[in-house]
Amino acid sequence: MIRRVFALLLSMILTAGYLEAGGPLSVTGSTAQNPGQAFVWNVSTPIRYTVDGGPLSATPAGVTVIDNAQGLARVQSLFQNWQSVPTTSISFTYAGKITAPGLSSGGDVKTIQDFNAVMGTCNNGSQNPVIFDADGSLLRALGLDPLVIGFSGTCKLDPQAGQILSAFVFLNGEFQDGVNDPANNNYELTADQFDEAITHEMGHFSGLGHSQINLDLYQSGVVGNCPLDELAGLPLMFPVEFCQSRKSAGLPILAPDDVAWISKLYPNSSYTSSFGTISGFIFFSDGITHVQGLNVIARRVDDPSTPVDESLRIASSVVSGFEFTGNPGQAITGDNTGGSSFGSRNPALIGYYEIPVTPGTYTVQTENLDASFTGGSSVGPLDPPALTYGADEYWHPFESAYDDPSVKGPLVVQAGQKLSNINIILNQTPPRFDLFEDGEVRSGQPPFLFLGPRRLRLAGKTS
Amino acid sequence: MFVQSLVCPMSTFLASPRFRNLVFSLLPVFALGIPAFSQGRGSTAQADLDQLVQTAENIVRGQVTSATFEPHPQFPNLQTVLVTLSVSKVLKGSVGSTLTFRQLVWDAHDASDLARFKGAGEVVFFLNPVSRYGLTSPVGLEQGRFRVIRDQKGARYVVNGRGNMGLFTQVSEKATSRGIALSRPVRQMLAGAGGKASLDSFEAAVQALASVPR
Repeated sequence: MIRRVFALLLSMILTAGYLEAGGPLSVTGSTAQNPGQAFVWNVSTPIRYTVDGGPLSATPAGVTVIDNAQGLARVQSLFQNWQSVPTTSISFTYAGKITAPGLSSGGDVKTIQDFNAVMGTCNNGSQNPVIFDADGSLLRALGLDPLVIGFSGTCKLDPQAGQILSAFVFLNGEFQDGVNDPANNNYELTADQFDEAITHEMGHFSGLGHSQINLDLYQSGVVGNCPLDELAGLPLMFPVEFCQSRKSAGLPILAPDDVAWISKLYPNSSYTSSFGTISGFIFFSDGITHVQGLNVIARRVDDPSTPVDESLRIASSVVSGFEFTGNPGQAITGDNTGGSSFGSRNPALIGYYEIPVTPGTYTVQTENLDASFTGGSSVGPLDPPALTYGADEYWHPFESAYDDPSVKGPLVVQAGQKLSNINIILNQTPPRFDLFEDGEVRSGQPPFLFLGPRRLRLAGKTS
Repeated sequence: MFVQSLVCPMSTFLASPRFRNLVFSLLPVFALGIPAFSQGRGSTAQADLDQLVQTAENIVRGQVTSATFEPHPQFPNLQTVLVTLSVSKVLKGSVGSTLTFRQLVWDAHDASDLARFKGAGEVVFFLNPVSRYGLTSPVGLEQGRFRVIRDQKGARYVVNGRGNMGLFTQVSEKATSRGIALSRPVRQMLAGAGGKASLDSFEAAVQALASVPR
């Protein structure tokens, strides 16, 4: 009981004055002005991007399929997917063709030499290039293969201010060349599928990380025709694209989770009148020790009067401890003394979560991240994800380590409201303390030093 | 779970075979779970096992012994990671007991976060042909990189960065069309929807598919 009260007090203290950040690709480290803050662009002005001067797609024979003007229009349209979210301030603007020392005046990036020159400008923060590889030849030069649809990367960061200073996007136009010849490693996607993949990469470009919602769909092995309700709630920023395109299913390209997080990272003036926040801590069964790396999902309660299942369609998520480092470092073995340069070292954030939601009634639940989401597919701060026993639990008002984890407590969230201390205590997790620890946090010097058996014996003899 | 928590106190549960099984099943995740290295984020099309095998130039199982970030020797604006593997088994290609390869790293997050690249466990890599500039990568990025995990009985399994999703789709049919005879355990594995696969069956399938190119 004392532990639970302590935990509650601790969480109340932490919530006050907390930095807003969430669903980010990465957060600032211990040397930053505000550790644990999402890396974001300065959006006081539109993010300026430059675009490849060559065609977006060409056949293996060199015949242009999507010319430069069409490619440029496509890129602008895909950036617009994020910019048009009504509650975000992020915006992008075309700043002309790619330029770089030694690159042709037309800005066509065709060779690894061109790519090296362009990346030099990205690395020094002077350009945010969007590169077209019309026939996949540049990918091959880079040691990559034709299965790669596209990728994005951050080139330069300001680790103190937590700002993204430059980034790039790479598009493999071979997927749009009209040739579907897997036997010769030439693959094809529909325009909608290709656009979704590139919009996903633009989400990373914007600073968004991966999200996990409706995981059962992924784990069921379904590839292709996903049920509509679950597809509607499946984030575009899910690590793997495995369903039919959202557009072909009549859905907007961004899921509610995507909209929520781009808005939270870059809120505009209407954000607070459109979103509320649910936050809290995830604890092991002792009710004190924080759990990092659990996926936390806020789901809208289903409205039985509608034909669709809102609990599958409207959901937002974040990983607990998303602001804490995934690698605090250790000095005993190897060269991992400092750990990761990303993430706060404040242990009070290990189990913290914060989820933006539109007004409505929600349930909050925890689950493990899929164990296969590692490396480029990773979600949240831990790579690989840590699997926790007793991870599947819903929040309800009488949380304990012995409650029914399937009981859901509805939470009504108003616009602008911040519901805090929605804490979940997992059931039946292994003990975090041994028999001689009480879990109390002390500050300063302890009142006495423990004397080992030898010291005790000596003390006994001299007394 | 609720009913059990009422009738089964924590201490009883912790001593139960169910808990032990859980702990042992999770051990490999904690012990071996650190991937060889991050690929950086990228979108890839779904590939099946035969596509991975046919595309890869080298397929090896081994342990990552070092991973060093450094600029590409010819192209200094391109960050790369130089990975050295101690090879325990070659499934395709001509590789010695040690394999060193260089992969492009395209994200500043990865390049400045060396610590996460250390301590890799046993892995199976499907590596693309090395480009004329000395670069390669796992085929399909996370799809061509498998972690080797062990269960409580010591049996070894493999799983890639997509949970082997779609990995075995129509692979049996492709093998049959090329006249490849597959053992019963391999056929059973290929009939599955994905999820972890027995290392022995997986390696047998890879070698069989590699033996008869499409």
